[in-house]
Amino acid sequence: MIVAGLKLTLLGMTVVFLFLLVLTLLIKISFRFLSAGSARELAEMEATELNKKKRSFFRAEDDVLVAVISAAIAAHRARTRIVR
Amino acid sequence: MIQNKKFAIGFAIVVSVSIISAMALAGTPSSGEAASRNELAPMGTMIAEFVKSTGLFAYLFPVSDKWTEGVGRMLMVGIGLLMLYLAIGKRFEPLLLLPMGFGCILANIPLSGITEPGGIIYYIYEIGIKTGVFPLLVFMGVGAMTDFGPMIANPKTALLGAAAQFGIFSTLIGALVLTEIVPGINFDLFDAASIGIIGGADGPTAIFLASQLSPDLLGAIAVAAYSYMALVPIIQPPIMRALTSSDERKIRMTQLRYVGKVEKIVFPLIALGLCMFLLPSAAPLIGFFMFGNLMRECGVVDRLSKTTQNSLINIVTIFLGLGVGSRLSAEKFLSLETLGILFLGVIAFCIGTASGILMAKLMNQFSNNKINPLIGSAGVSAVPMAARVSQKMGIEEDPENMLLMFAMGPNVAGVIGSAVTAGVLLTLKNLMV
Repeated sequence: MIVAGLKLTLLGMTVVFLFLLVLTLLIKISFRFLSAGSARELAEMEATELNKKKRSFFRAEDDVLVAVISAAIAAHRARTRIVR
Repeated sequence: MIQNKKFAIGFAIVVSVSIISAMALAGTPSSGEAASRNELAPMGTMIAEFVKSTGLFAYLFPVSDKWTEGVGRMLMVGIGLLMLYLAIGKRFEPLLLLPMGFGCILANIPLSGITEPGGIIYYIYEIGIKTGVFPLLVFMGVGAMTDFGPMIANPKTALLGAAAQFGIFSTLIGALVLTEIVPGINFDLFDAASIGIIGGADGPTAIFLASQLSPDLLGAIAVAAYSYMALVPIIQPPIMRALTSSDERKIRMTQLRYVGKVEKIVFPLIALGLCMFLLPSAAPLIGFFMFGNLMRECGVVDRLSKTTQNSLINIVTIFLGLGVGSRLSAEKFLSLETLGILFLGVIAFCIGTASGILMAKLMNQFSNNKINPLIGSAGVSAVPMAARVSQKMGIEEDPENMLLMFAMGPNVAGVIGSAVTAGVLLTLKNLMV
């Protein structure tokens, strides 16, 4: 029976390695055909990310500007009220 | 008063007419039956019969006089409670150990008939597990949860998943050796194959294969598989430390490339195609696994994908656990063979872990692009726990070395590897003389 087990081990490990080895090769082959698409997708994704960052940066900057102007107007009004 | 009297007389007439007509329709035998359904035995007999129908009496004085039917069942209830403790108190694979533990308790309630034809757990087992339906549905859910990106980005790490399957085959041989040397243990080749699959560290695959090859050992195999999977963070680190040097554990791997959406969609179809041509016997496992993955990656059936990876897998897991628990009968579980299975299970995990690490070291001999051997241990499936162990060990050596994503490659390859191995073992019936 142990000999049967050894035979099964030999067959099984060969099949498993063969399966995953061929799978590895097929992944590499498919990459050759699909790499251009993946690169384009990555570039688009990076561009979208960059746009998002820019937008959020400007939004933050706008908020600061609005706060500064509001503070300046409030200060001006307060000063003119005192003068009157 | 007069009205009440009239009503009473009318009611009595209606009742007597109904009884007389019923008796006339039913004939003589039913009259005896009706009598037996309405008459009770003397009080002493009633009490004696009631006592005999209690669980305590059945535990203490089983009908068949077998110890496994009496005290054995009580011990199995204890084992069920232990599983509940491990699930609730220790958080060891609670999603499966909890229903399994409860199923074990239910299956060992005497006189309930819950696991016999007509009982609910009997049907759960017959419909869902004996047919292999539940493990495959769980496998589909696992596929819907799996991201093959790390493996596609670094395909050579798939070989680590292949090497780790050596744990399965060495355990298979171990089971046959135990049969030769230990009296009382008697595993045939089918049993040995089912025990070996514990080393795949993949619950649904182990349950599927055991249900097809050795249904009698299913309970013990499932308990061993899930218990050891929960113990991966304890079993693996000492082996990882023993087989690697400090310098090897510090190896930093090159950044993984971006994997496009189309690549991820094409992958399950490639794997299925390969299974179709090379190993059709693995088609149920690989097929359902890849179907789940395709639903996840294609992006057009989000509802189906979410259902598969949440509601469906949860519902099936409940019944899978209960069904497996029902196989934990004293007669089958309280035996020397179970001890053998538990012993072989831990050996399977250890050898699988060691094989993955040694394969990584071997690959480093032939490649300039070095692999951190710690990720080799993740080849034993147990997703994502084995990959987390690799990450933890890597951080211990170098806090900035993040290995998790690299380890996910062999980890998911290990799932494919164990499904392929199960496919090979399923062909055993055709390989016999």
